[in-house]
Amino acid sequence: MAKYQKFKDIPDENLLEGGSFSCAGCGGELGLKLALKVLGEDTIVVNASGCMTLLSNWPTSPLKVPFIHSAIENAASTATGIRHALKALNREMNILCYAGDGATYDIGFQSLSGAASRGDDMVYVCYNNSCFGNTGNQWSTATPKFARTTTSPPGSESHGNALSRKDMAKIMGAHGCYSATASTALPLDFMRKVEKARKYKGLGFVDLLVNCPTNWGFEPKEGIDIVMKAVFTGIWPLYEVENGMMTINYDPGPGKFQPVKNFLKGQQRFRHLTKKDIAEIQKDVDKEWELYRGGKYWQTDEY
Amino acid sequence: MTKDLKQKYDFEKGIPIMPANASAKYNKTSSWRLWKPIIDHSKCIKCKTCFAYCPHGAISWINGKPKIDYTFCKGCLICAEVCPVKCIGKEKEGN
Ligand SMILES: Cc1ncc(C[n+]2csc(CCOP(=O)(O)OP(=O)(O)O)c2C)c(N)n1
Ligand code: SF4
Ligand code: SF4
Ligand code: SF4
Ligand SMILES: [Mg+2]
Repeated sequence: MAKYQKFKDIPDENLLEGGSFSCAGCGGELGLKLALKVLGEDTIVVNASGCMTLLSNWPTSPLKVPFIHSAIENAASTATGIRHALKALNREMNILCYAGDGATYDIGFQSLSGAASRGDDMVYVCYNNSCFGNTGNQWSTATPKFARTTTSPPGSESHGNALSRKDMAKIMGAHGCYSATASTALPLDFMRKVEKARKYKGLGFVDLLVNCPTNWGFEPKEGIDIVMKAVFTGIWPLYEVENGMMTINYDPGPGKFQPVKNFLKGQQRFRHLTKKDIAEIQKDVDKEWELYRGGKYWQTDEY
Repeated sequence: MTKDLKQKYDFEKGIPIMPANASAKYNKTSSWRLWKPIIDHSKCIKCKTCFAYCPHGAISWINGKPKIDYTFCKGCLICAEVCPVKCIGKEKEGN
């Protein structure tokens, strides 16, 4: 049976301890903690510039494992270099790339795509707060439709972000490697996926939706509920791609998802949405699930 | 803080080594807290849920039970929200 079935299966030791500079209630830090529970102390963390770089505020670090901060463009290439250095030293270690959505979907995509194509051995977790968070909430291609960011402000001419988010885990799956989506609402599901990515010989990718109170605009304590609703409304589908085959991990059945407004309400970044905007988002989500249920996993051009 | 570290590390060689877990010693995030979470151990079912979700390394699992380290707890109250038996209460800081 797969590991990590119950919370009691989570190892006691924390490799990420207290004293970080991340915001109270940060899902990004939670994701790193959980990934390290799976990978253990024989791990090197590579981080692209972003919120988690706050963890390496020299001379202090809350981590008990090595942490290297790369430029925003090249976390995956940095990991490739480390893998080759370890090979030269005849050492086996886990390498965890932990990079934001801006660094993964946008600025660092070339280095990630290269490493995946070459099959360089690493676990790559994108902690997805759906914006360039650390620099003050700018739009990224992970930003959902109609969300407010500082570079997609709503006003008389705009409803926020005009574009739909990019489906990154599918793009990574199309490289032929292990690729999955996850949410900090479901730590065990995420940990099982990190374990699969670790075992996969090559680059294993997990796109982890994380609660970000600061940029999404909600009380820190509400974070887990919000990323849970992202799953329960179907707006953040949980799936895995293995050998180019996609499997849906959670589908309650037609008409059984909660309405998307349950996810949207209570977040400042969606506060300007009209009924029409919400209906449009609902239509997009319904269409996506209709395609999935018809076995059309890769067809995204129809909506 | 820097003076303290200088005695241990050779800054002149410029090797950027940080002592493992140094911020646990220096960066006490307790001052960020508006609310203090408090576990009622008599009701706790030791399910480890709060331990799984605490983002800030502030809950440790000691002798089969959760223990909050108030030196680092930032008071996000995620633990109180996720506890299935609602046995984590809160107290306003600064009273
Ligand atoms: C080439 C380059 N452009 C801009 C920056 C400034 N920068 C630092 S962090 C950051 C945001 C990164 O966003 P993301 O990867 O999503 O991580 P998050 O901050 O959201 O955690 C930016 C734009 C940079 N470091 N390098
Ligand atoms: S802005 Fe969001 S992702 Fe960044 S540290 Fe704060 S809560 Fe975490
Ligand atoms: S309030 Fe937040 S930081 Fe403090 S113990 Fe609970 S989950 Fe951890
Ligand atoms: S979540 Fe609640 S019941 Fe479970 S271990 Fe924590 S305090 Fe105890
Ligand atoms: Mg981001």
